[in-house]
Amino acid sequence: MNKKKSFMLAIVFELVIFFSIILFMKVESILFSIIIILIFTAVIILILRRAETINKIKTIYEIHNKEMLWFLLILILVLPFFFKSNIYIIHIITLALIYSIAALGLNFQTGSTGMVNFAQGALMGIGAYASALLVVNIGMNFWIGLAAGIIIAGFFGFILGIPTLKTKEYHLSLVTIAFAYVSYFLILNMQWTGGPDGIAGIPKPSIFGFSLAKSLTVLGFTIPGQIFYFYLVAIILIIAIIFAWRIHNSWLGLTWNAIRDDEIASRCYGIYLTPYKLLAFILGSMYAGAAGVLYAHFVGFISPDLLAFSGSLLLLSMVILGGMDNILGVLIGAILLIIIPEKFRAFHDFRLMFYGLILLLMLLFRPQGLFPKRARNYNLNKGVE
Amino acid sequence: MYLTFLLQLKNSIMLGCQYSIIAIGFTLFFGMLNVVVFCHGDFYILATFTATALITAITGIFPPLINSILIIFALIMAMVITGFVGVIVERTTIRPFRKAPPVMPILSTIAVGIIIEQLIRLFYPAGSNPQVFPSIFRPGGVNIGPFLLSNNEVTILIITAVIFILMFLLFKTTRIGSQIVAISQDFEAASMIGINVDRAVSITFFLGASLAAIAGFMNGIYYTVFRYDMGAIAGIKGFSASVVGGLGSVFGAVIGGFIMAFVETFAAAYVPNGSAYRDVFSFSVVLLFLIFRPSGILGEKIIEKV
Repeated sequence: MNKKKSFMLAIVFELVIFFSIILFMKVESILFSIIIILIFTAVIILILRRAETINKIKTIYEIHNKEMLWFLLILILVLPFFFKSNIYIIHIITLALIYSIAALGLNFQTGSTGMVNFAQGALMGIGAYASALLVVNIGMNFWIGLAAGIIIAGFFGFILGIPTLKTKEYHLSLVTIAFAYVSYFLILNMQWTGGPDGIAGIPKPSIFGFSLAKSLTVLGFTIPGQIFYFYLVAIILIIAIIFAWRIHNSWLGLTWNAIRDDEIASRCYGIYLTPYKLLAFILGSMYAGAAGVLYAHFVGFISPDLLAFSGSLLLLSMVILGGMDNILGVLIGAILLIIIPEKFRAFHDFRLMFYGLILLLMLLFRPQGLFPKRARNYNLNKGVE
Repeated sequence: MYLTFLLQLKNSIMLGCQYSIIAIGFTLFFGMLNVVVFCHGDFYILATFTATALITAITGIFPPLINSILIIFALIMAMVITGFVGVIVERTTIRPFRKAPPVMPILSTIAVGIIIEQLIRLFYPAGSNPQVFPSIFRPGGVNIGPFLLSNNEVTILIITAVIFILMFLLFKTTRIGSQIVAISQDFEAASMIGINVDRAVSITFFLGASLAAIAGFMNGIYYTVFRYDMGAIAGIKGFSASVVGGLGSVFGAVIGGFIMAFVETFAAAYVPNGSAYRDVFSFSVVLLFLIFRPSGILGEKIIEKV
């Protein structure tokens, strides 16, 4: 396969995913949505059955990663204009992108390093509360709130990381569960966090005095404010993806994988575990913090329910569904798990049940996720065959 | 002062009975299969619902039934039903992952927990509302010194004592008990000397889940108001108790259960505004244990072999 052909293939692949998401969002009837989901499951199972196919796709993306990223950026810029009549869909997609950021962070610990973290939802909540308190109570602007949210969540990730150094497997999961419950109960019961009422009236950010909440009229077109917030989230997500991708391909990602596969063996090879495990927690928590801040300013209201255990479970399901240690997989898992339940709003009561069933079925029948992780490819210069 | 202390002591013992019985289940499963069953708490709340449904149904049909028979019948039925649920859960979601990395059973049992919890919420009549456990005890009780031990508290103490004695006898005298001990010591060697491992595992899960059912029954008769989502936190508390006591040791689970209950009750009673932060205190104790003594009070130090 020559370079031009592989480039075309990559673009076609990206376009197919893009338009299938649009089609899915556009379809109103539940029956059609189910049919689309079934078709896609069948296609994914057929395509990904053979290890070579996904390896090929991955190689193509590794060769054309810069072009593909630009193309993705263009697609994201175009995306809102497909739904101009229906702002609610933009709302859902923005939410999906916010959760993608948090899921990418969780992937550092659970996917790359093999530490199952049940506190990612709590860390997201901590970031959200940090920014909301600063912005609402002290009157800082959004950007300081974002920075503070990321840093504070990272700090709490560091705190969470310390006890996990001595523990592994079940004990490690218990540490994260205990951390999640402690932070939930603290925020629920303390006075200055607003207690069970949460914090309301979190403003939308503004750039150069231009508020992202207002709609803008350019040349007779009215662009609703939500679209700008969507762009902001998309840009931060893309930065997050690039960062995660580079980490994945660096010695850091490789070290994490070594720790996941065998702690003792990696220690024998001279890897000092402490900084790497802590880094996995700190970086993942910073992602969670960023997602939390974006969530708080997007919805405008946060309550301690954001820190509840089910949020962490949702994030974990995204990582499992998409495929551990696979950035593309995690993104798709996050988008699917936000969009599909919204599609079936009529069955809102069954949502948690649905998450549980998906998690169980994936673990039983496809434990590696929709997009499994693949062997690393180090001889890129030889090109694609 | 002295009286409140005694009263809090009584409360913490009541809570400790529940926690330690849940923790025994965790420790049994872990000792046997090196697996932590995160849906154990949902077995517990499932049993509370089953017992409530049974008692309501029976008292609806035969009003003048003798109370003690009714209590024992409801308890045994809840144990049997929950026990079978436990066996089914083991067959479907834990056995496939016996050779898989521990991430898998952690997640699969959590998924089953969500499913059980949601099934209760969706299909039990008015399942998302708090439920009231039928009052099956006559008011009154036994006077011990200055304070009154009500009938349901006496029942809880008796049941717990019976359970502890039965557990002791099970491991010391019976065949299946020594099989369980053998499997916890060495899974492969146990299967090599002719122990039917799968059968023993199933029996252990029946046993563990029915222990959770007993704790759930106690929860019902002690607090009388319960909700479908109480299982998750009770399960985490029980798991914490078994970790504090030392995962894998039955006696440690009992000690851990009482420690957790003491911390929780006394923090709520003596720390200012403590009742809001009771769970913060108990989970902080768990975090401290995990930092400074991850193997628990009675657990063996884990030495990894390559």
